[in-house]
Amino acid sequence: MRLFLMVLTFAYSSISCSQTQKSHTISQGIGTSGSITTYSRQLNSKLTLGASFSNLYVNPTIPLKIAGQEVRVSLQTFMLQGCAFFRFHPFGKKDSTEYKFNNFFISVGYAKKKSSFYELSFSSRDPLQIGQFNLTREQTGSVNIDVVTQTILPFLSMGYEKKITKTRLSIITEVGLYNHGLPVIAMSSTGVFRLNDRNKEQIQKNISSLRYYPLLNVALGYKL
Amino acid sequence: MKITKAILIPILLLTVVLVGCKKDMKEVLFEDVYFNMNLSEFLKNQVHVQFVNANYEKSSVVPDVKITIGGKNSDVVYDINGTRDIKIENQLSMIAVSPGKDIPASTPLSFTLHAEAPGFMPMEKEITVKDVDDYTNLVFEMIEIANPPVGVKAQQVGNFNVVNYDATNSAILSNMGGYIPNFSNKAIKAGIAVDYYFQPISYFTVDQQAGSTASQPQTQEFLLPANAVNNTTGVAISQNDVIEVYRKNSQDDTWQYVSDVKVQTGNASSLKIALQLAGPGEIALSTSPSAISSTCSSTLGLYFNRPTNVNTLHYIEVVRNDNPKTVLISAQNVQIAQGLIYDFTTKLPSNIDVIVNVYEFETSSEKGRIVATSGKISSCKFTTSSRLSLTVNPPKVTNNPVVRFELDTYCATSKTVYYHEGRTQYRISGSTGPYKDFGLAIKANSTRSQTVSALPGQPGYVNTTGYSFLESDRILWDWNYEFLTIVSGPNKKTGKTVTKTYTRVKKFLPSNYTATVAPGNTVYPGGYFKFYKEYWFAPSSACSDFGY
Repeated sequence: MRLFLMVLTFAYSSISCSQTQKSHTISQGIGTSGSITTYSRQLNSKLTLGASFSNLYVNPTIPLKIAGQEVRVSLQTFMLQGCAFFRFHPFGKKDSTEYKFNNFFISVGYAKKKSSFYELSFSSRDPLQIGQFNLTREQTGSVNIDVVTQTILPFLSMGYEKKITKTRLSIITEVGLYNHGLPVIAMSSTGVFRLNDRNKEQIQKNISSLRYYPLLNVALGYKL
Repeated sequence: MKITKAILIPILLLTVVLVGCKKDMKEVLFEDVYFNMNLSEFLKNQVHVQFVNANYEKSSVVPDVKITIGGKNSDVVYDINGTRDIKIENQLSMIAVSPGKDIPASTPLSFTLHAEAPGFMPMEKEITVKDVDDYTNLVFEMIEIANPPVGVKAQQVGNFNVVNYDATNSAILSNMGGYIPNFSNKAIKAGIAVDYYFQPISYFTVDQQAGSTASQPQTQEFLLPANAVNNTTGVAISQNDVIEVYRKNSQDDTWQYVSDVKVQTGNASSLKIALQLAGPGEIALSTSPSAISSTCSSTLGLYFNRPTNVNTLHYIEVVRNDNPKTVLISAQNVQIAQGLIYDFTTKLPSNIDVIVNVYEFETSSEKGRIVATSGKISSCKFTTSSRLSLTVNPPKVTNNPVVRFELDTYCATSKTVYYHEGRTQYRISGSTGPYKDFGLAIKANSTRSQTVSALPGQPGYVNTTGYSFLESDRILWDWNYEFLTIVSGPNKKTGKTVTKTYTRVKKFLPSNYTATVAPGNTVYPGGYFKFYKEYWFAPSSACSDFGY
């Protein structure tokens, strides 16, 4: 059903684009979904339709101490997603481009992610030493935690487009939330970390409340 | 300026959110999650070796033991702390074999451990470790030259130091593999293998005295063991019997036939032989077969029934039925629990009747009483594919109670519960003898430690899901015992591996048990006494030793 709505949104957006003389904007930005390319078509002073494509690959590390040993927690996610959205301009007024709330908007839509995984893995930062034993990477082993979410994410956001005077450029900022549903944990561990699978239940409990992913974008727009 | 703000503020906001999320993720994800490192997986195959005076009932401990590791797989042998230099503390060394790498089931690893101490005879044993041998406990019974045990006699012959070992003494025989380097039972006479009857009654080690010049061959009379019998016939040795003399060939570790000697009468009831000593080496005296004998086609295999959870180590002998003092084969440190098996490595002579005896304890020198016996069986009737079934039920024999300890150690500061695993040992308080096996501590599940919100007795305490237990039938009410426990693992705070040996003296009191399981229980026909953690053998300081 959600997929159908997305297709419908894209289709409507394209039709609107061809049937009106209103402005088209493309933008390029960065945000919590990675690098984002957006196309939007303003239908009237109250409504804009759009679609975007983003991709994100992050692999940050967080230090953690286990039994006195510093280990490296690696969070890895590869997010390739397409979005379709409506933007409502609640304060939009016809022919009053100088009105400063004109470009405030509320956006709703769906994102379709290619992958449903966020992967966390941790192992020792350096080859582990137990007493005088220097363990190999294989002997040290690792803990892998896959956080599986749904791949279709409804989202809600609000934002503002600041036009740069005497140019076709604008700065667009947007803040909101994706709903990725109840994350489900899959865990495996090897080497000296082998028995840590028993923590799966607690991690699942901890993460069960994290049903939302932050949406925060900053982009540079160009009016065609 | 406005444009700069318009760019900078959102970027700053984005950075704060991303960094904040990253930090919060760690806290949210890992709240109340306790990751640990399972060291026992890395140090999976451990060998614990005790060094004791072979005559410990009358003597002191072995001082300043120095050990050397050699042999085929010596490259995978480490001290438990990771050094090549194996440390000895409190007469005990702890060895890790093939750390971090599983031993293939089909390829056991072996190495030799050579031990020396001032005033003691050097000792060397080949130690074989199989994939399933998590904890191997060995006792090196070292001979103090000035105070040898019964069955060992040291004497000087010219420039030679000669030590005579009575191989009819089961305690000596079971340790011969340590007294003679690369000991084997392979014997060759005129180019033909004669293993099938090679069962010496005496062994000799001959060494040149330090600083002396090579001696001319010397003939010396030696007494034969009292009550020695011909192992193939079961008949007592008498005057004019022929004794075969073998000398060990260090090239291929076989015993090579040298000559025959005739038995002479000594004083009173003793028998003697005249032996020519030509130089340093090892000599064996074997009785000669009066008729052609042969061995069974397979070795003897045993299957154990034990109607409890007790898992202890035992000494086993196979003796002649017609002469029960003649030990044909024996084995020390055999693990006996319900369903376990043991296969001997040496074949029995065929066409004779034998008796298999399982003893109370694990070493031949202190074997205790017989707790299971097969009765008369034909030597070749049971094999490694059709094993002799033995029911081992010491409480029925010894009247010792079966006791069950729950080994949960609560660390008050960190509110951590630690579950012990592995073999524990004990001895009577005040004894200088070797520690005996007390039994195998087993974790109820894979959990090694847990964190609790409250300690026992405190409000909010909830029973933990994990525990470990140890059952034993080796101790007697009202005796004081010294328990020995070895705990090895990383210190939670420093990350360094710590191996600690704890001893604790406890009186075994009937008033201390907390529950009994009623007699008649199908698993415990005699019932058992259940104890709680007050009988845990490690002191409370163990928590701080491991950073908990």
